[in-house]
Amino acid sequence: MNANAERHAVETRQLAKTYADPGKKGVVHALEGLDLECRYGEIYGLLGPNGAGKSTTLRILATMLAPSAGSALVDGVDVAREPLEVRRRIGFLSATTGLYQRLSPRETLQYFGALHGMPKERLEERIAELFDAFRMHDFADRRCEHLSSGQKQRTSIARAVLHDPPVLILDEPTTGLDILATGDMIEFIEARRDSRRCVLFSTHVLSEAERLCDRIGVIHRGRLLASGTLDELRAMTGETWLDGVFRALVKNAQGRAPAPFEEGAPA
Amino acid sequence: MLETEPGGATIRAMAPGTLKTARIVAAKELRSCLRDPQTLIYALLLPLALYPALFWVMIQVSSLIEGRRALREVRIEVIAETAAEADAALALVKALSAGQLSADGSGDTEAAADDSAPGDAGTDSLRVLAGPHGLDVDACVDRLRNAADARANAGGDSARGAAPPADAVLLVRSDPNAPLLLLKLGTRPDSELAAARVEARLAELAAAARENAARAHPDPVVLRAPLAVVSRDLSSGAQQGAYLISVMLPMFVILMAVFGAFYPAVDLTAGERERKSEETTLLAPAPRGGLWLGKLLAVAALSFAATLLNLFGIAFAANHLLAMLGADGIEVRLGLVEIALAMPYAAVLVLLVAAILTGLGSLTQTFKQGQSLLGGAQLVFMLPALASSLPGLALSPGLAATPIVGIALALRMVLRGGELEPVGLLIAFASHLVYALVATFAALRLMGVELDADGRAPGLARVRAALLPRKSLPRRTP
Repeated sequence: MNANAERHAVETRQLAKTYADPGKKGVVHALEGLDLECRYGEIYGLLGPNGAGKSTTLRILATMLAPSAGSALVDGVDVAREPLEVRRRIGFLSATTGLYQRLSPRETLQYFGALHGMPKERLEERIAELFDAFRMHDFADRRCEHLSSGQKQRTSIARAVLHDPPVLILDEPTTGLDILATGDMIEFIEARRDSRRCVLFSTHVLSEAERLCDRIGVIHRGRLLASGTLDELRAMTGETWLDGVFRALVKNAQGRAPAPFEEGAPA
Repeated sequence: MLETEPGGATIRAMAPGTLKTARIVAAKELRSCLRDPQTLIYALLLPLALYPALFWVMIQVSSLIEGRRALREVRIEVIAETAAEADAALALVKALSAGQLSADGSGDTEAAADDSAPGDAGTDSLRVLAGPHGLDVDACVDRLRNAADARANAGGDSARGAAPPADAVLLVRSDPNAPLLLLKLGTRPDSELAAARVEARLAELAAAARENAARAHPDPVVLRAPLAVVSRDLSSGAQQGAYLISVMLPMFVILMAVFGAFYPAVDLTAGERERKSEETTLLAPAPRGGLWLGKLLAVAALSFAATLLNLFGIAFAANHLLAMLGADGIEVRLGLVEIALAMPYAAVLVLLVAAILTGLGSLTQTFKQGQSLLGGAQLVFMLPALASSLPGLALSPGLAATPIVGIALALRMVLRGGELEPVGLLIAFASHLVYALVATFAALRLMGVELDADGRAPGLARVRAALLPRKSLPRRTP
């Protein structure tokens, strides 16, 4: 039996995160007991309003933030105990992940390849593969500060998948991109599903989620309100369209004490 | 793919350890910094070119000033205190008006009071005016001040209307034993220049008079200028140069180390945050301690390069500069041995500087904030560096262990050459190595404090979290 069939690509249990609030001299609860499961070979969309905890969740999974409580496993590895191993198993990309302006795409990939410990010959082969796949040859040796937004995005994607990770985490990856670059990104995400990787991504764009996601989780105030396929969410809420589903879930959460919809449960 | 796992497909390879990570990161950061024009200017070009450039500028400015001074026409008025000294005053006018005072040195001895405008004699650069008779000292003082006021009111333009007032006054006293009285206004450059030219001419006249007297009475004592004293420094030019180096150079070395570290420290911390590439760095599959250490080493390397280039720049240009400053006899010998002896001290200095500036830089969010904070922080190094240039400071154990001052005094000793004080040198090196390691540790902890999802956290809270365990902010995962 496949080892990955026995475990989730991403799994969080009662994940919590608090930040110091300098203004009020208190703490901000960004996550309060988040339970999440993502499988290999699926695209999982994380939806939620601003401040719901999406970015915090994804950054904990990417080991950029340490969880305050609970646990999070990525590809079976605990993010708090083995963060370095987790970073070697994920690719992370967000709208705010910048490039090193004074390096070229080739130098950027060589740098990350060296940090991954990839042998030089294999690294050069892999870079050539990515340049082919993302049509990067024309600007491979130009400094990133001189690239267009679409070229920068392709470079960032190539950096994220340089080591061909089993889990890809994308935080609002299409924010700020033009139509063509957005199309490229959507094609790229779809291609990852076909190669049996897990893609966990957050978005504000509901049409993207409807088109791409095998399952969707709706997060609000640091808790997962519901999780399931689009049909399951429709059944839970009685709504047809995803924006209606989303609004019904958030309204329900605001109207009463949090009681997350369970996967497969009736509305 | 390299090696794959079932279901997943991670390319498996041997991850680098902390030190190898630091080396990879430092190489990348150096490459990046050396493509930044500001860093190139401040860390490399300025330290190397500062002294040769100063040398060139001083030559140009000196030539310009000398040229303007030579062409500047100034006026001296010779006044007799009573009518009885009128003839003597007129004779003085004629003697002073001899051509040696001209700017071009043409030797025009014909110029005299009766050749020019009424009561006026002189050359292109110094005009000697025959003034009125019968003015005492107070009257002369008033006359000179009034003349200065009149010139100021006329806008300093001496070419308009009547002959302009004099810049200085030479009074022939009624007492035959009293010396000539030269009145000038020290706050006015023209007055100073006129007085200097007159004094020089009077010295020539006195020398000529002594020579004439010597011919008449061949006694060598007559040839001596009365009460003239000439001092002579028994130190060799090289010794004087070494002393100068020992006083000034440590300060320059410390300033250049700070200069070299300043921009890279801001660029690799606040600059990276501002460019939003810090998140990219945090994603690197390598120990975070190695990432921070690599940044710090890159800053230290650029600071070290600035220090070394500065020393070579001084070695190249110092003698020319000293000559331009009028210290022709002083010889600066900054050899490879002295530079090699200074290297261990420079190394701990740049590590200390890099750690402090990088650690502080990590507290800021933008390049501008970083520049502001580190601009003030430079005083931490500059003030002790300035203090260490005070005369009389020796490398005692206490001063050797004093931060920055100890390094400056140790550099002073090794760059000067000659006898070394091993105990003081050892204390200075060991104590500053400890300071540098503590500062490095603190900087790495500061860089390791976790920020919120927006990459922010209050600076003071970060300092507390870095230095005090279990304080408000968590630390980043390793």
